[in-house]
Amino acid sequence: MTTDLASLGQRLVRFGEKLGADEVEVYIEESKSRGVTLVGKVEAFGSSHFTGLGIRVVNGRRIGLSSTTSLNIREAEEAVRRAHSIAKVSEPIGDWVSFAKNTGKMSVEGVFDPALQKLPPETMSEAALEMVRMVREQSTGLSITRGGVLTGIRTVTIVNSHNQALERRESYASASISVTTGDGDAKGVSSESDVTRSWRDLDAVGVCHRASQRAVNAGKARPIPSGTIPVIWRNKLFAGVLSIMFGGTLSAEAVQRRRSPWADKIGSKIATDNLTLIDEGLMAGGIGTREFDDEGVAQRRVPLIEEGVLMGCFYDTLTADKDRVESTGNASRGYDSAPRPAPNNLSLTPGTASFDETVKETKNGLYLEELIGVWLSNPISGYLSATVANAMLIEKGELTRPVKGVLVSGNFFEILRGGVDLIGRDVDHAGNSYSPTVRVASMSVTTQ
Amino acid sequence: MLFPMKSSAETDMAGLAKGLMEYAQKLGADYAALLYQEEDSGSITVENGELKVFEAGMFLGLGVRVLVEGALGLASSTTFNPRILRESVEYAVKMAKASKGSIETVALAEAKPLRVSAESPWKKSPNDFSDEEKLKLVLETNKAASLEGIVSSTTRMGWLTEKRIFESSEGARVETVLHMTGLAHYAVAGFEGHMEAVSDSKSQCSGFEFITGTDWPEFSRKTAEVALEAVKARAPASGNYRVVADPDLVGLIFHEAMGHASEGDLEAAKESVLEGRLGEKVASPFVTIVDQGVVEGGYYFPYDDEGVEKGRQVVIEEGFLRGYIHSRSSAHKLKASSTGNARSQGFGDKPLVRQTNYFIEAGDSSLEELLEDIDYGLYLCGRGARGGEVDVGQGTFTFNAGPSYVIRKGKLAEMVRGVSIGGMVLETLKQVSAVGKEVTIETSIFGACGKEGQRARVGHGGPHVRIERMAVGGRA
Repeated sequence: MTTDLASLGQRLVRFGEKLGADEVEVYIEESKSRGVTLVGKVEAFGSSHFTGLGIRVVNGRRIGLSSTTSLNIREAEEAVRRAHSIAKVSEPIGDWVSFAKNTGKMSVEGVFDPALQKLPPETMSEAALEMVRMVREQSTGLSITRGGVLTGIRTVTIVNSHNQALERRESYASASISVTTGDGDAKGVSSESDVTRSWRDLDAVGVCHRASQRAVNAGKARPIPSGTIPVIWRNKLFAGVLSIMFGGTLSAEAVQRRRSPWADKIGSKIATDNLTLIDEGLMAGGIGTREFDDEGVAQRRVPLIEEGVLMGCFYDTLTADKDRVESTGNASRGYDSAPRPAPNNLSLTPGTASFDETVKETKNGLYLEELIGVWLSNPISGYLSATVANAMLIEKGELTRPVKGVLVSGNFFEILRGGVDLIGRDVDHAGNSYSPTVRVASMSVTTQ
Repeated sequence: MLFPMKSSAETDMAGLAKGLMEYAQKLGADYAALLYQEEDSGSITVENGELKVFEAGMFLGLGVRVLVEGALGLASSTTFNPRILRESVEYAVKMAKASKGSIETVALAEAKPLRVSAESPWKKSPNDFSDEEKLKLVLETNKAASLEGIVSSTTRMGWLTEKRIFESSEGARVETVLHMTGLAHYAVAGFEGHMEAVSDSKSQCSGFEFITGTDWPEFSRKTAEVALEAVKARAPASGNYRVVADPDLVGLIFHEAMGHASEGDLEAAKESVLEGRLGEKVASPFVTIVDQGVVEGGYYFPYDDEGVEKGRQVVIEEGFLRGYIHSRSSAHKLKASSTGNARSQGFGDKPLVRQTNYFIEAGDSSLEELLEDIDYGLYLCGRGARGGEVDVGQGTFTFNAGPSYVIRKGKLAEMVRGVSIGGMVLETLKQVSAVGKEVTIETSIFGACGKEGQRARVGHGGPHVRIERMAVGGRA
């Protein structure tokens, strides 16, 4: 069956070839999203319908890129012409072979929820109202500074000169909330969110519950004295750290251009035996799970670190051709940008400890729940630091009191080489990065 | 004459606008407004002498906003299909009605419906220059900066023309056209196993004459030289210093740490450290801060996305907090008037209260005078700064400055790197002891300020500012 978008794509490929292009690639995305936003109470309702068309044209290994949000044939053909004229004057890419020839689909589970397509407006409205009620029930002093529920359906169509059109459909649902309580020194703030591929899996109530409790705690939180102590990272936070530290540096592009600290380390032991990191491109219901990547190459499982040994990096077609290997199905792009290698579902393999056991095994330490500024950490030097917005002190194996206003820091590379001494079995995710709870044997805590 | 745009969508929009607004009102909307956006842009990126990307893009769409019994409905589409747009409006109205009684009421402060158009000045269109000429310029600029010791250099040139048309059921029609061009260079220097990166950019709201009138190889070479010097520099010892901040860093600090705190929607949500402090003394008497829509070198923003004239607002006057910046809805909540600060990233986004060109006004000191009685301090620079983070509610900030200089006996001495600064913004404002007499405002086609997931370009800068006590993190 050929859909409208697939036939538009094929028509544009032929149009570009007629202009004299060696190769043409057409990327079309169409997304429909609906949302309710909260400020105090329910504030706004939105729906959007977005289309984007990206054209890449190759002429004698010279490449041109153009894009438009219009799928109108006149504007679309103009975009092909524009890409072709850019390709004519561009500089040749030395390593260019061709657009992906080995395109195809893998079967994946849990990425499209038909219920999201037909979700009645009242259902979303109800969910948002339930979030408002939930926060009120937790504590009377809490107010919602922002939040909301968002759902979306997205279709991506890819055609190039070597292949028939491929199409994939994905769905998303998310709930997020930021709450505040108290004033001055007793002010407590917290944010929480959940992103899933199906409406059924979305835990809007849990999001409100966790944010509310943490905000109330944060209102009573105090700093702790500076020192070096064991730190337990909440699964979701550590997932974020993995994404900052490996999301860019294990891309074949960064490795080839020697912008990565791992450039000379493939095949070496960079971490302790308990650490295994896989890019799980086919994880059921994964946020980054897709039948094929943004060049039409089937996604797969890509081992990055196995029992502490750096196994390799992730590739798109251009970087794979440069190293004469196969693309790992990690091409990622927006309609208006060129593809580049990016992780699909970066996943740290879980261990066996339950969360309670992890806490119980920690005599004195800190359990980190929410941080500020962790993105300022440096994946090149490994310097990891953040301000603690929300943590719990652990004394004699028990969570005792809330902590905020201290800085945690350490070197991530050293943490990999011997700092992780306990790995939980409870996995959660931040975007498309997955991690269990992790205990780092010692990190520096500084009172500001 | 207004700049000729390429797409045919504007004609479609003109036909659709009236019908959609009437339809929304028929369904029960008390207010309806449309925002049409069309952006024609291009960029060239060269990395280490090789072309990385040459791209051209066209972005267009239409957003509809409705107010139904106090609920805000937003519908948007990149297609100008009347059926899809009508369905979206129906959906927004249906949702609003379904939530009746549980709504945080949105209402708009009075504003005169304007019928005007405005365009940023330009002489040469980017289209007057061939793709070859543009590419050659970026390749040459990149090459000029490949000095010994530089391990990686990236140069990017960008240009855009954006048209926005705002129409409302109150009878407003405001059309603005913005032209922007700029170039950014990123240099990584290596020395004895260390690496240091410095980036810098120059942009202007103008036509391509800004590109042809600037010596870019000189600019990229300077950026590379700073990186080469920085990689050999040491970090300063941690501690409290007397500092002079340059206009670039002053702009960054006050936009982030103070500007966001003066946004009216954050006051209304009780999220800002400035909430409830109107009339209070919040800074030293040397500090006067304004937000101004059109200023030399800055971002061009004559009218906002609710069709209100931006003009110039005084936020802090000689140390006293005089006002916040507002959209029509935040102004209504705080019983004020809109200051023309409602901005949507794109046609479909909810307008938020955003800064435009937010800066400290000129004082009366020369740079020499600011430095002269500092025996030992730091001259903090914005070039190469890696950004920072603020907590608007607590009023705390942390920034990484770019490569900076030690001040010794009133004179600039050796360079230092790895400088981070932090503190409480209201405390820092009270520590301002002198302000330079020259204001420099810049804007950027590449960077943008983020808020609630929406990006907005701004102008930033100001005069040199001396601060008596600033916590600096460097070496332990």
